[in-house]
Amino acid sequence: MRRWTGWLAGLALVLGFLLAQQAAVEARLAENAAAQEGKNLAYLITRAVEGNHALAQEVAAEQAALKAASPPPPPTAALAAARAAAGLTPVSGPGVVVSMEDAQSPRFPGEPPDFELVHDQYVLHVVALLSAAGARAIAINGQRYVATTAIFCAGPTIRINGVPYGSPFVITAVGPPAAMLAALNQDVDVQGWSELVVLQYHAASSLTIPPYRGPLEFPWAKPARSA
Amino acid sequence: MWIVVLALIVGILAGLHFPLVVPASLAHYLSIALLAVLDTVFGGLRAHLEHRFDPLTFITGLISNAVLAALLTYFGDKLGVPLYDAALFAFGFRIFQNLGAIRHLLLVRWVRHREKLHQLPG
Repeated sequence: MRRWTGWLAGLALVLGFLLAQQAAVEARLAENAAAQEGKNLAYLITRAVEGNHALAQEVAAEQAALKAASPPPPPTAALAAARAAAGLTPVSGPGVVVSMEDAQSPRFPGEPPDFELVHDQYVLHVVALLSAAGARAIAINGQRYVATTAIFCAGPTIRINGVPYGSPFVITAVGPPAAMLAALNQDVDVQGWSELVVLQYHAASSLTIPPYRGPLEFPWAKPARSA
Repeated sequence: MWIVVLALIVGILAGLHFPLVVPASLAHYLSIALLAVLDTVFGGLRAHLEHRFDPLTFITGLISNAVLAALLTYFGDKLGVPLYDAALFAFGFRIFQNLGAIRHLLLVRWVRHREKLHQLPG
């Protein structure tokens, strides 16, 4: 028994050493496992954060696409300007009033009866004169002169914007009064007609031109797509 | 006898204060080898209490048990057979059996000792 004590002591030494080492290794392994778990969690968090970021960007992109896809709000300012230019709004300002009326009796002996009447070309000519002289809004008997306005004779009446009117015809034009009066004064046709029918004109400091109230349908003309 | 206990304590202290020499990959096999060693140690204690302790049997059993347990676990891992669990169960079972026997033997010895003490004056 005595001679084995040395062996037993040596074995016990090695055994104790290995036990302590094993405990230390296990502690280290557990530490590593915890660190690995922490790393995994950090990785998962990073992934989640990155995913959130990507999804937020996707949401922003989708919102931008939605905004681009939905029709933009109508440009009210441009629309109002277009309405004013199209004659759909009443306007007021200084201008000229021209009134033309059939003559009650022939002015000259032997005059053809046709000469006593105000013809559609009179109205057209006066409108063209005023327009050329700078008129910005014209109405004939309250019918606004617009891009689609037709002034044409229809029997004893003149159709303006499809509405027949008889004599007298009152043309109101907002624009530079002096230029328009000069144009009327210098026009030989107007001066000649004033000898045959009752044709009078005068400047007005404040005129109100009503808007166009006729149909706004264009079955033939379609707006062309401008590039 | 005391030198063995002292050597064990010195070994534990050395192992605690020594930087790691056991690779982590071998910790698995070292653990089962240590379990086998513990089983042999408790078996030796029991044999000692039963007065049939043989140092040669103890030392050879201790070393062979440890090496064989580690080797079997290693080959089990290579073959995909969890022999680690089998060794764990076998050695753990025997350790608790030996502990129970040791407790029983110590109890019997203590009771006999008391009986002797009570008989002496009589």
